[in-house]
Amino acid sequence: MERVLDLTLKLADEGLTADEQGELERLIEAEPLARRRHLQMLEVEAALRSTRHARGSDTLLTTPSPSLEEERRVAAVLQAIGRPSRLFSWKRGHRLRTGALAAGAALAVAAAVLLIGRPAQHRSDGRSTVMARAASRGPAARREQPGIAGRRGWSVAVLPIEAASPADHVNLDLGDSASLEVRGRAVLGIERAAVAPDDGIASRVTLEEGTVAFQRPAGSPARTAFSTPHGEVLLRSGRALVRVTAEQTRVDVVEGEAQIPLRTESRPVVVAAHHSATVSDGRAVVVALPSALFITGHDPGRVPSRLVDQLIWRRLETLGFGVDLVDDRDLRADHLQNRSLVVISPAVSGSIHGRIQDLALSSARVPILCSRPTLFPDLGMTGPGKSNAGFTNMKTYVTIADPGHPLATGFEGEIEVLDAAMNIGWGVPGPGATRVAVIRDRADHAAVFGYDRDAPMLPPVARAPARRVGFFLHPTAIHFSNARAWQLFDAAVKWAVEE
Amino acid sequence: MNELIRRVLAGEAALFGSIVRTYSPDVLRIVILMLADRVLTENIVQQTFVNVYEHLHEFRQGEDFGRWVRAIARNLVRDELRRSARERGRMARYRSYLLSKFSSDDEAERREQRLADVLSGCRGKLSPVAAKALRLRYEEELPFNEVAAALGRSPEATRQIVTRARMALRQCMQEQMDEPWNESSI
Repeated sequence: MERVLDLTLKLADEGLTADEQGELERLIEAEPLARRRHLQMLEVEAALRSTRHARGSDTLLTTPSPSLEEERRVAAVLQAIGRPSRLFSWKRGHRLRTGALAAGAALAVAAAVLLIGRPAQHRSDGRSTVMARAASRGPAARREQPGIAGRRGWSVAVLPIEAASPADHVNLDLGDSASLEVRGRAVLGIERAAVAPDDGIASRVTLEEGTVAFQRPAGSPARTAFSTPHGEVLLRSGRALVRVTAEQTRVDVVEGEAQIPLRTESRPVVVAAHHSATVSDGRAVVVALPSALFITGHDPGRVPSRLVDQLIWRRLETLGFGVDLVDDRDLRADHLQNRSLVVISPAVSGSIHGRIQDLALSSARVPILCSRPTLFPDLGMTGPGKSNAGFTNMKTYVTIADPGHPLATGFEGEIEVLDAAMNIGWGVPGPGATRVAVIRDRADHAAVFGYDRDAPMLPPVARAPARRVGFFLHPTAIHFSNARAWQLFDAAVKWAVEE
Repeated sequence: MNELIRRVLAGEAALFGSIVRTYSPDVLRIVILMLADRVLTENIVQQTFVNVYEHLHEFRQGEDFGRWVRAIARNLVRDELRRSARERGRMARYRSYLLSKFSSDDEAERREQRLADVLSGCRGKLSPVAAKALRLRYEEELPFNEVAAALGRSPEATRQIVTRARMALRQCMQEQMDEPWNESSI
């Protein structure tokens, strides 16, 4: 009889081999007394484990528990019932983050590591939000667990992922033809279904903070779910950006569609292509995405133009635009219709030069941000000739000439915009323009300048039909543009479209 | 508690966290009886509170809220036990047995309390070393090697101490339980 007890305890401790399992089965099948002892022993084991959780009183615990496990559970439940948790926000976490959880970035990993070697049934998890969502979907969803690691006692880590400069993104392969692009920095965890799930959700992304771009070609039956502090977003195919801040989750759908289940609605909110949804406080507000036309090119520089254009394209998407790319050789006048913004890449080729008038680009009533100095004269932004527009050599600084202007975005004095001495684009704009940043020691060479709508321009344009911005990007230098340069770019885009 | 429930029902859902903190130990004590893995255990605990929230309007003031929460937890455990009983796993027999003990909330509450009381009494009869080993292993959740370090014994010797302590507890509890323990379960 001792053998039954011994094997049962091994079973409880998860140390039972297959042969021993067979032996235990045979013993308890053969003898009623062995069955009783087996069950008694497991009941003792369960009772011992439950002693850790002393019977609670009805006195309400209104302050956060010192237990990480407990607070993650609270956060997960609050998220599951449709309210954002303020207890475990990476941005707002207060006592939890600064106290026992000071090693916040390594939180989930640390929890998993610390728990190795403990009884599996006892281990805390640390996968609060994901588990609450899985639990709320019932047994079918449970079969997806335990997720990415697939090992008992290991949890999915929700960790900061950050592109190492000068890269602006990190690519992650989700499987099922889906990919994820982390823009800059994001705090996220990923789970993959171990078996084909009933609801088609093949992967789950817990996104606590930051911006990610999702992409999957059409035709796949798989879906990906994004769990954020404000709700859940389901994506099948197409392209979409999901961005999470402390206040809200925003979903920009470029292609395909997104679904957002809400507790208050019997059907999910559908976000169609070229639309954006903002989710907060259990509600989703859907609006059309502002549309940007990005004119790309083939300038034979030292850096492939596609790499240049991808940087700008991603930046525009992250700023909240639905971006359509068009090669400068394919550009037609109708491409300009219904746009909120046109951006001209510094890598456009000379072929567009002779077509500006035909395309009516200079008279288009749409804001234009141009980073190709040779096109400034065609757009009426500078006078003609090399003395009015070009690129400097071996520069890293610009000087803010008008610190109070929104295009300066708060900068003043000399600021370093490139991490290496490289080329900076400039123009000599007319008197109707505001020179916001100029080349160091060349106050007439403006690196950032803007024409407000109706401001006088230079021939062939009398007055600006909409805002125009000249911006200093260069195909080779763009990968050396630092955070300050991109802050200026963001400010330029926002100023151009804000009217 | 009634005021808190009223405010949660009025829309202050964030206050529900206090309910989760207060009653998590009760729910865990029930769910842990399944001896399931930690993922399933945590799923059921969280789902219990989601269900509590969704049915909060059904709770009648004046009743024992903790008991109501525990009943919801047992319902979920029953569902899981029924499901897992169909999957002939290593714990299948135990879980079938447990399901039979969960048939009535009143009986389950009484039985859980009785088991806890008897266990407590029997633990008091263990040698100091065995009692310490169990405390470190179960209350502080230390792995065997850390329990061994704390006891100043080898890990293998510590395993033996814990194993013998559990066997001694089973023997003691069998003698102390009023009912013929597990007899009807076979």
